[in-house]
Amino acid sequence: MIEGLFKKLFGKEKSKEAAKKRLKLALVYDKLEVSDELISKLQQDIVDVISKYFIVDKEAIKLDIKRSDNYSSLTLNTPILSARRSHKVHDWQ
Amino acid sequence: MKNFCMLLRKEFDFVLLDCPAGIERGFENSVVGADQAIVICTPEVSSVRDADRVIGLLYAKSVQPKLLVNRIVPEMVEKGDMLSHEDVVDVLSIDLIGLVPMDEKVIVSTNTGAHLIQNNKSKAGQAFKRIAMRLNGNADLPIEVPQAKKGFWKKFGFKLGRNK
Repeated sequence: MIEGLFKKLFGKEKSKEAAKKRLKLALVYDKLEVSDELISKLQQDIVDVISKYFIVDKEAIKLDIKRSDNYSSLTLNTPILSARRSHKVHDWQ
Repeated sequence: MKNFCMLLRKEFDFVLLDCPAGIERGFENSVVGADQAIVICTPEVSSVRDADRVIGLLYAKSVQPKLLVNRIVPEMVEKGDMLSHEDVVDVLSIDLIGLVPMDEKVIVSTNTGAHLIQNNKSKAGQAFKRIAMRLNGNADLPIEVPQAKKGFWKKFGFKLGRNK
């Protein structure tokens, strides 16, 4: 009885709050539905652009899409081996 | 389907196209002839999620849908065990056209084939009626929020039950 009163006063999480949280998360996923093919194309394009300015280890590049409750983010991790000299940019092209 | 709708247009003031659940060909078929759309969902996670997809698809076809929340159980909403219509609207962010409470009389009326709207005691029937009035040009008719029954003894029993 006392425990019940306690819970009543301070309130436990209601199941609708859980439903709302789950729903919002599901909708973020639905809106960000991207295929693996799209991700690998994007990675290729990004690598091409970065390679104009830096020499990077193409094998070690990692592209991630992270989703959480309120936002989603695109993260690219790449080791840079060295910078290209500016005149070399034209050579490379 | 488009041509068929054009034929019906000449004959009737309103044509209601019942769209099958899901986003398959049935959906495409019923949407192609429509000017307006009402998306119906229940206050459950899976239903609201599907509604969000359908709303997205309708926007892509430049149809502005309105939302109808069906089968609301006011007692559960009050207890916090069911998403309220505010929660649903908050998540989907579209305009409401009506709220329909859970009503056993719906099943009875489909059994007998009698119109629920003619039953003045049925809350769902009255909600249908108001939605129909809104569709028929009375767009500003206020939306009634289903309320839980509150007798003294019911309230008393409810509280006892919760403290178990």
